[in-house]
Amino acid sequence: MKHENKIKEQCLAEPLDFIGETTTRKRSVVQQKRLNKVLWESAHLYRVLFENVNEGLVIIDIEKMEVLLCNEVAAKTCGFNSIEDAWGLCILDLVHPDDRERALRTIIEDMFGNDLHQLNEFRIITRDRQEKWISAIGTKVEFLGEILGLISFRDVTERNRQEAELRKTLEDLKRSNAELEKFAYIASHDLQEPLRMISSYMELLAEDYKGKLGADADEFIEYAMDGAKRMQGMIEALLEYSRVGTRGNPFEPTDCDNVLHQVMDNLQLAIEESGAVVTHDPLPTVMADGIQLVQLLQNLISNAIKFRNTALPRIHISARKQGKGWIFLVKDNGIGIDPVYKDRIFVIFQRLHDREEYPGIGIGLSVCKRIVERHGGRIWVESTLGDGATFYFTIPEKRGEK
Amino acid sequence: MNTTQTAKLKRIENPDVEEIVKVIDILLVEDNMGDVRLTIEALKRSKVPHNLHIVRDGVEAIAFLNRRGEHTYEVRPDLILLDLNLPKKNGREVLEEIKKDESLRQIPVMILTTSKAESDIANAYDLNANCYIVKPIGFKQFSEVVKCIANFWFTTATLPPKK
Repeated sequence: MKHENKIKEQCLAEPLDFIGETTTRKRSVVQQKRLNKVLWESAHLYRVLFENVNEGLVIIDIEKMEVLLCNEVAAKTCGFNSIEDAWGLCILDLVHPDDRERALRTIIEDMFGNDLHQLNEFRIITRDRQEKWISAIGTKVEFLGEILGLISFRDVTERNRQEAELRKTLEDLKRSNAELEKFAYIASHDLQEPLRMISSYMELLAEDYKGKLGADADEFIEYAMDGAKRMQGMIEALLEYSRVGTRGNPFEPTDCDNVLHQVMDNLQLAIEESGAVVTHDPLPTVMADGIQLVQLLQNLISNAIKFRNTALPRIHISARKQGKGWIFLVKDNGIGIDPVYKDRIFVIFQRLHDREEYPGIGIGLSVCKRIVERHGGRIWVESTLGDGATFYFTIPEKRGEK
Repeated sequence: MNTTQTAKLKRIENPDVEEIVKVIDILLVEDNMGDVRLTIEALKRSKVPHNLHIVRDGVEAIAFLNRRGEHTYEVRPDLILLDLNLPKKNGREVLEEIKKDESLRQIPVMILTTSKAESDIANAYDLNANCYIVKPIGFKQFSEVVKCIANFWFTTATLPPKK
């Protein structure tokens, strides 16, 4: 144990003579320099650091892999009651048998492998038989002419556990999302069957018995048929909504100018009928599912036309770079949205107007939201009631599919 | 559905049919009574002279076509309307058997189903279905479709000679 003794001697050599100075508020330059010198030369300081740093530190004999010295944190992490208990112990005895080879290899590589300073995570078995994960770095240090190994490490058991938990939660979430999508698809698909019976026989009833059962009956049939028709629309909407996730295409470089041209073609009739003026700035190429981008812009623009004010609708589409992606704006001069409802409008089947005034089932924006989210972006609206609305959505530059 | 009902439904003679007019025999393979009745109503309105034969599952369909068991004295249909989702033996299997059978494969088979799945559509044509029709939601549209089928196969197209 000669290194140990040397270290001890060195550590005890310097008296604690600088503490008082550090508390002095105003120090002269000379004083400051003196303090620096004392600190620099103070073996005591290094001892204080060694003992108080919040990291396990172990100095080992490289050949024998035996502990020469360690600090309190190291001893505690490894389950020793005192520092002295760890002295002379071969560090590999602490490492989990399955991880020994890897731990040894990586730490030795660290020490002699041109300052790789790689973080190595492996398991240890503590003295009190606990399994812990530690993250360790090995360094070669020269001390009084001898080459020693310094291992600094920290306990990452809790961090790893939290990470694993997070990963599991994420996986669960993904799975339950996928299941929900599948459920929505199957449910809506199977719901069509009985609905087809209801609407078909209602129609048959109307066809064969209209005017024969009295005015009340005609009215009842009318309402029943209307309900069935609406339910049909909702089921189809649900299918469309679930298809965003299940029937999406892989992301490819997509020219948004082309996307917009396609949207304009699709909306030609609505644009002509409403007299809408749609303008746009040059749009970027983004990584996206082109078909879904068409669907997204088409929904936003047709909404802008549908919820128009008395003035002729004016719609402007633009995009600007924002961080590592693009932010798109669809601005209109329509009836606007009360900010109170700015979140509600993106929820499926939520509508703000009665069906007579603005027909629809409340699917468009919820599909938009899902499309944007599938691309890793965000969608929101800024508006005041009666004074137009601007829909914003972001598309990150590159994004793996969710 | 009990047997008396089945028997009653098995052959629905169109009362408008006159002796001289060529009467076509249609086999409907459909398990849902609601759909059976809709098809009856739609055919009635199409004014095409026909006899409708109804079977409720795939096994019975094959027995009917091979004139086995209680179907010994049945006629060979001119046209088959086949649902895909059927009890016992599904529509795909029935279609496959018909198209593999030399004596049956000339009979036009129309798939009439609710499935819009691309895989179902491709599969049906792979198995040589003569056409694939997705059942529309309302009666009016359904009636249109049936009228369309009847007009096409019994007026526009010439059917294979009866064996």
